Amino acid sequence: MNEAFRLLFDQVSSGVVWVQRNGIVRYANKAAVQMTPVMLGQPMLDPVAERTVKAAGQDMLRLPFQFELSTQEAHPDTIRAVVIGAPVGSDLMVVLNNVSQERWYAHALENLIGYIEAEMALPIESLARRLPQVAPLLMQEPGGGDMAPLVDDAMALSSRLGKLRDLVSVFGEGAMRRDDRILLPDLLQQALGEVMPQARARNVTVAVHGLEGPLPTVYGSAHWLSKAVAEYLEQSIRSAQPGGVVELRVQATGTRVMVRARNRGLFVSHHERRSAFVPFGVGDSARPGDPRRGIGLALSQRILAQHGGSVRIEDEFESVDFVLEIPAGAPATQDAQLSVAQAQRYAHDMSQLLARSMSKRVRLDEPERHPDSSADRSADRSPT
Amino acid sequence: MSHRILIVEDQPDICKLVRMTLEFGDFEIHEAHDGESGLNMARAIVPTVMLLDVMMPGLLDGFQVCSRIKQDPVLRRIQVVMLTARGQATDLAAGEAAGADAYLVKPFSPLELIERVEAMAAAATPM
Repeated sequence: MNEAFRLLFDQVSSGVVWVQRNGIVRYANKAAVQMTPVMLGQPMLDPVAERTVKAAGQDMLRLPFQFELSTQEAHPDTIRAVVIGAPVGSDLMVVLNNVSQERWYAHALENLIGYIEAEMALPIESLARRLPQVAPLLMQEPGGGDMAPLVDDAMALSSRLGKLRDLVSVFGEGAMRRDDRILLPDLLQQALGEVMPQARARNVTVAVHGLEGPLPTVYGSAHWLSKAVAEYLEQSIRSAQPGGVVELRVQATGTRVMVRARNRGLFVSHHERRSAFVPFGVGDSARPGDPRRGIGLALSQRILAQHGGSVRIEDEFESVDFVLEIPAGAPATQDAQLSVAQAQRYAHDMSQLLARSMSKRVRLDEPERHPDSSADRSADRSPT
Repeated sequence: MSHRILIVEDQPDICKLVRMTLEFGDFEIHEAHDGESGLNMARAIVPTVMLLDVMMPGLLDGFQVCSRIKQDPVLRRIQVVMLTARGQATDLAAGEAAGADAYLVKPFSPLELIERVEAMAAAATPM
């Protein structure tokens, strides 16, 4: 085998086994050896792999051909194998990936979400509800003033935990399937009310344009959409320079509503743009002291995506725009269940509709059966 | 004289069922499939009765179309029947605020629909 190929395959994380058409192994990279037993100059030692490769070599399989193997361990992992043609000549290659490992990572995330939902959701909600009641009482105690920083920290922690709980909740899509009728001005005013304390704290002015004219309604979960808009606005304000202005414009175009928060004199690096939507992410190049990103935009994006909308960052010549888009009006989906129910009502009423129609026709015909006209008709029919 | 009826409904199946129901009567039936085209068609044909779905994609939903019709001196005599799957009190109140003349909750009885439309058409002053 070509040395360049060998170097290339030694670098990849998938297992790669290069075989002749008669099934004899010519090369296997380190990842492949960890997944399935192979010896150079012999057929693949796993009987399923051996049979499959032999069949492929005899043109009995259509390539690429996918099959599954198991590692030879007490608790075997599942390996997804694909037979493909080799890049040169008529040889074959088997590419191997450990699906169990991939699943493990997915399960770990699901488990974490499940854990937060099951074990932490109620205490987080309770903390958020009771902290504002308890904090003033604590401050009234002797020496309560010293507790102020602790109370502030507790409030900040509670707010972040609340967002974490929200993020976990929005992974359960069922929670968001609602069709509340939402008036955009109300939605934006409510979200602005929530984020204004942060704007004031940073001395950021939010100038709003476009709320005066007629705007379309949107349909979805009022609870989650107001969270999404508030998180989006919070992110725009947090990104603004202290003392700066965020220009917020609302525009309805075609079938979409676009909300654009413009920060002048601000630039966003490619790295920031990429990582803005990753919850908690700071990227590989982050230093230990760097502040971690919040979960605001990730939460906002997730909620909007489930409403057919999106959030994105756009770089203009001298500004950065945070753009939120949401479909205007109701989602353009066919409610099959409702159609069936309506068709059933139609079928149920069909006989009465027909009877009603017939009786109306008869009533309309009745004047023609006037005694005089009937006499005329009988006269017409009489033999001459 | 057959009255003009305008159906504004985005779901093709429901629209077809409403049309099939009205075909049992003596009506001139027109259709539109979103709020904006419904409003434009209402301006063009000035129907006697308009059957208006509430939840439609686009810039105008049913309540907004109804509200504009009832604010227009030329169109306000159109009898508007809201057709919707939303039967909660707040929705009925929104329909009333928009000036709707009647409200039918899906799945509605086709018999009730045609009787109501015929009654409205009979009571309507010629446009």
